[in-house]
Amino acid sequence: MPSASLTITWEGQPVRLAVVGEIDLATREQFGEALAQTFGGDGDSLLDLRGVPFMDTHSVTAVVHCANRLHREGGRLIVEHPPDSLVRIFQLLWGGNEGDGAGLYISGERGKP
Amino acid sequence: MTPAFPHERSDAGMVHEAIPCREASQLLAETFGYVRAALARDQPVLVALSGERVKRIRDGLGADASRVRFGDMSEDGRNPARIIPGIMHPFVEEHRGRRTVILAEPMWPGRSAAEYAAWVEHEALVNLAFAGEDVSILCLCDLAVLPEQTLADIERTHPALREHNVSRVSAGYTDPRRVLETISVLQPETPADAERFEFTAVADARHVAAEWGRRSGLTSARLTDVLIAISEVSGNSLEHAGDGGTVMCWRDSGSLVYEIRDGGHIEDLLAGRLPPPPEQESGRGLLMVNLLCDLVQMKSGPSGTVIRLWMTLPPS
Repeated sequence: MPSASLTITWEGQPVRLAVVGEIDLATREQFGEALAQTFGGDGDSLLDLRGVPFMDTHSVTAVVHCANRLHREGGRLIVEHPPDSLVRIFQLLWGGNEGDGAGLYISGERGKP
Repeated sequence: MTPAFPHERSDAGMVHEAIPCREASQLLAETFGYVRAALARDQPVLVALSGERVKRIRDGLGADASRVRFGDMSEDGRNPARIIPGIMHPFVEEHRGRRTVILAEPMWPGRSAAEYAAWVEHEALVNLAFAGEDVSILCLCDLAVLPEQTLADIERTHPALREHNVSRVSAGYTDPRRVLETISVLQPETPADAERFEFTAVADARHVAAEWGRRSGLTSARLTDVLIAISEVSGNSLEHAGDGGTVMCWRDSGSLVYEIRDGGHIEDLLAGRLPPPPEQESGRGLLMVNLLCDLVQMKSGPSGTVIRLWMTLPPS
């Protein structure tokens, strides 16, 4: 039982996953499982991160890979209210390479409507 | 006379040369010759020099400048540990299948002793990072304005040297692993009165480090970088080095320095310098740290690992 854990809720059509908590070494496994179990197939998948103040490089990579998988399945992943750390990591590791960020859409950056 | 350009041969593998030069005008002339020869062979060229020299090369190339990629090394290569992962490797990767030509000027007057050591480390690691790659790397060194020991350090880290458009083997070239053993990466010493915190969870290390940064006046964008960098390094401590580590912090003139110590041993000399395969989910933490920080110092051995992250403070 990890000392830190995330609060994860989801609803269907379109599938929406909401996460509350910081995502790092202590919680990344729980986050990765939630991504794998919740999202799949075509259509839109929504990842609501308004309750996530921080994400590390590993967890942002998991989001990008999840988006790539949904893209191959004909869908897309829409990330809502990402923390600044996601935006920064995504920009540095995938910003110049559209192919790797395929299927990922980021909306409503923190502090903006 | 036909100049000997090693990158004419497509089977040459990696070529890592330096121009040790005391005349700025000669340095420029040789640089032009090298770039034009590469363009004549239709090879992708990256010119990443410091400050003013980029502009002079661009202007001097005229219409051909549009066929060359330019970068400002004094900005993008401020952290020497960023030059391979942030500048050189992406260019080689982008043109995989073709021979690429990279002109770099990672050393310039005014760099600190700590940055100088990190530069020598970088040059030694280039030989390991691009071994067998189809790339020609030419490093410009304006010896007239660089420290006395620069020539000896160029000779031991570059397999070949170029003068008057002729390449020759560097007699002083030394096995990169041997070079790395001789460099004092961790300078200056950790001050006795540095802030100090023992962590057993990444979140604790991150929150304490951010509070130190906030008190020292880091901007919110830089605090995000601290949150990320500390999480990656302390995460490595907890994942690979057992049950915890120590994070420290102090000011060094215009910078805030974080230091993380743990009992682990990072054996990969290229850790953080080259990305893992795209489909691999882990292995980008130290790479991220090198991209984010203004200077990264790392020393690892059987007795433990020390990693320092330097963040430039805004002018007060």
